[in-house]
Amino acid sequence: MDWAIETRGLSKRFDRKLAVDGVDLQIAPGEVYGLIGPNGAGKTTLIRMLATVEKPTIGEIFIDGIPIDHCDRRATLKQRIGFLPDDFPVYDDLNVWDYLDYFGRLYGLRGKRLRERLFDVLDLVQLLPKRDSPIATLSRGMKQRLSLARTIIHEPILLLLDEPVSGLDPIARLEFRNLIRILQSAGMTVLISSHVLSDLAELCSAIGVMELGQLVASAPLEHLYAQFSRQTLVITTLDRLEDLQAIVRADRRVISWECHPTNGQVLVEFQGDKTDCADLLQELIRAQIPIVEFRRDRESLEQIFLKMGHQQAS
Amino acid sequence: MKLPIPLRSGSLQKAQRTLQIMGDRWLDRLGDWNPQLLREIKGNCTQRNLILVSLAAVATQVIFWIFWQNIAAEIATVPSNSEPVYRFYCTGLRDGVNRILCERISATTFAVNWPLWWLDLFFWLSAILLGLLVLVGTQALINNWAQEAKQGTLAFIRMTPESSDRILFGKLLGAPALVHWAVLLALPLHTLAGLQGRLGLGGLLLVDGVAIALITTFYLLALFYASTTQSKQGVSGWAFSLLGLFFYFLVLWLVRAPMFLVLPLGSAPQLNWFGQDVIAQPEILAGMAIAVLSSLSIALWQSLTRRFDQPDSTFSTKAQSYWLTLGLNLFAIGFFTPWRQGQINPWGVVGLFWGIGMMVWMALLLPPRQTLLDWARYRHLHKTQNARSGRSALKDWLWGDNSPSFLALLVNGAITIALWLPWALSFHGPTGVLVLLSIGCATLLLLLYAALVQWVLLWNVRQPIAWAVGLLGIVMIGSIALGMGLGFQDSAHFWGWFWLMTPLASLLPTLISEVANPITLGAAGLAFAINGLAAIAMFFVAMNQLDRLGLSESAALMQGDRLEP
Repeated sequence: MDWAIETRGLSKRFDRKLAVDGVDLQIAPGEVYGLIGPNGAGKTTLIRMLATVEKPTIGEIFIDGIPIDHCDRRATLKQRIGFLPDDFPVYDDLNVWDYLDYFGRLYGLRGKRLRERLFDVLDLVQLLPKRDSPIATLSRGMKQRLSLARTIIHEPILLLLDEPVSGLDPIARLEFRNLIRILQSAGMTVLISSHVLSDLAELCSAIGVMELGQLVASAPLEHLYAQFSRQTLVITTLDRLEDLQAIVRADRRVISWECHPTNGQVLVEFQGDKTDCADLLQELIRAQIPIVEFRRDRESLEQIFLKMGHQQAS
Repeated sequence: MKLPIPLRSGSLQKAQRTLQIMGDRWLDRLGDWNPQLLREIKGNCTQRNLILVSLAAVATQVIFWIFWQNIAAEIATVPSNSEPVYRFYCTGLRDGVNRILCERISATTFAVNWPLWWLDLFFWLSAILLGLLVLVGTQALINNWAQEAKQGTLAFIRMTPESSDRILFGKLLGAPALVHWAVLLALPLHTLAGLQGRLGLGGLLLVDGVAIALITTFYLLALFYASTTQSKQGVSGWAFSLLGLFFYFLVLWLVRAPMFLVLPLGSAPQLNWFGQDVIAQPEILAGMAIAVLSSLSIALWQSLTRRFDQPDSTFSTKAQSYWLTLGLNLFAIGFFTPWRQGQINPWGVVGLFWGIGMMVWMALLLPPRQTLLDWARYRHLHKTQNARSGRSALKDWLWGDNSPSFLALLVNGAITIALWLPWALSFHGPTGVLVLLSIGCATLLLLLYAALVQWVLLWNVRQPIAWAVGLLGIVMIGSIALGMGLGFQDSAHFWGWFWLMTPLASLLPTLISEVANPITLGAAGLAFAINGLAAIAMFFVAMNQLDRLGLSESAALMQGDRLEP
């Protein structure tokens, strides 16, 4: 199989410190891969090497099976990669249209195709009404969307996003998540590094954890949940809380529980699949307990990350 | 009667629209040809800027024209007294001190030598335009680059498939677009003056060719300077531009020299190249200037595109240095062939020339600190992977981009000695040997400095470059001071001591004072040996440090090395 991204023993030294240390990474085509880790773990350096901005000290990178040679960066390879760094610098002396027009031309787009593409990306990032505005007048969120438009102007198949939502308000983050979903549905492989783990949990299909410059974990998100996340049942009743507790206590699948009498809620750490959950619910209904809420909850990605204990910078 | 007005305004709007469409199409084509150029033009040439620059350019030309007209009027005016009058643009005969006698064409008017008047107008207008480009154009380029470096946008441009050649070309033309526009507006007057000055179309093209070659070199030097200044706080662009202007004035003097032949300014200086007086043959001088400037520009261009594509590489490859050393020496030999007796000491001038050359190569071939560290740490892997032998290690030192520059510097010195050998052997007595020793001494001295700089650059200090420059300065000045101190104690062999301590530094005072062969063969040989020993010792110190830094972390720990130099 040709991975969208594959690295073999990828390392980068700054002075004598290893910022990235022998990373072997594989990302399948069409995947949204989240890279998490503490500050200084080597995420940005890894992404910059994948984007060909930084030259590795040693190791190999393959994009779609093609090796990256930093001395001979082939145009075809450059056409495949889109990179959005965390500070997304833009040119304040240009307006929105001219900025994208410039990068479109640098990527070889011309004539009708260029104009079509400009309209498409401006529409996608919802900046069409701002096409003639000077970039200096845009808000941070707009500049970030403009940078994303620049990143995808040439229709790359691999998108590398480094801390793309840092400093954005919740609405801008929501819009950004929607954009990524659209791009994923268009078939792009996306690698995102972010500290906002709730966003990654919503977007990603796989997660990699970096610590001390090494990729210490890399797995599909569901595997991580299955391995590290505890399942919690949230059960709320109108009354008869004692009866509810008695049933929960008697169930062998229940590991522990917590009772909140003020709001009639019991939080149950539960070992079992969906059928087991349905069983328990049926039992409660048979016992005529006035259930108003019964839902499965699991630990967030953030809690899993903290539980994994990979929090050391390189 | 009211009907024609809306019709007229309608046709005006139509014409405006047509013009705008034409302009857009033209810009679109320009962008297709070079996107970077279009980007720079759009960034710089706003409507307001264009109007302001156009007004300023036209106004300046009008003022210049009025000023020049006044000069002609003054020349033509006959004074009330009846004594002979000598003026610059008069048409009469020259007297003994090269003054030109004025001839009357009427009772109140002298004849004016209009072709000369136009030629001088052409010269000064061209000089002003070029000066403007040197001062403001280079400044615009440096600022443009510094801005991109500060914003971090260069990485995005690098990531695109557009070639670095086209990007840099777009920057060269587009970053100073407003100055270029001002110069473009002055071209009609410039062309008219050249043709009226009887330069002819060929002469005009030749002069413009030299001007373009000169400004291209200045521009590339500006970009080179901007790209080497790592500081993101903005580069001291004005310092560069003012320095550029100073060098431009020197060039201007040289360009003015051929005009000494036609202008009544005294005798022209002489400059021989392989026996040809090039000042007396302006076509050859112009051709030579274009060739030299173009070669320099090509070398700078290659260096710039190389650094643009790979910012952590050396400025020049070792192979390029060998070729350039070859060309540079062949060109330089021309100025000393045939050697005219009574000139300054050949060993002095050749040694100085090569010392400066070696200094340039030392700076251009020195790999950055990180590259050296990585080379020292991982070269064994490349060797293992490619099953390389000791012979290919030699190849790596000779041609490899990341290896230290010592062997390449030595090879450049050897090429220089080989090229000057026939010339040196044409001298009778020890002069020829002194020339070769002088080149050898300069090579060894710079090898010593290169080893010293590399050693300091690998120190674990906050500002290694500042330390390297500082220490190099101390060593150079210290050795000169020591040489002078010893020289004053033994005044009979003053220059000998000076030479022994720092051969390169002793060349300049020797040239200035034109001391006749103060150095004996023995002193030069001793200096050669001392420099050689010092260079070898420093080389081993630097290489030992590099080997130590190249140890793996575990190997270093086992050896009790604290991983600090």
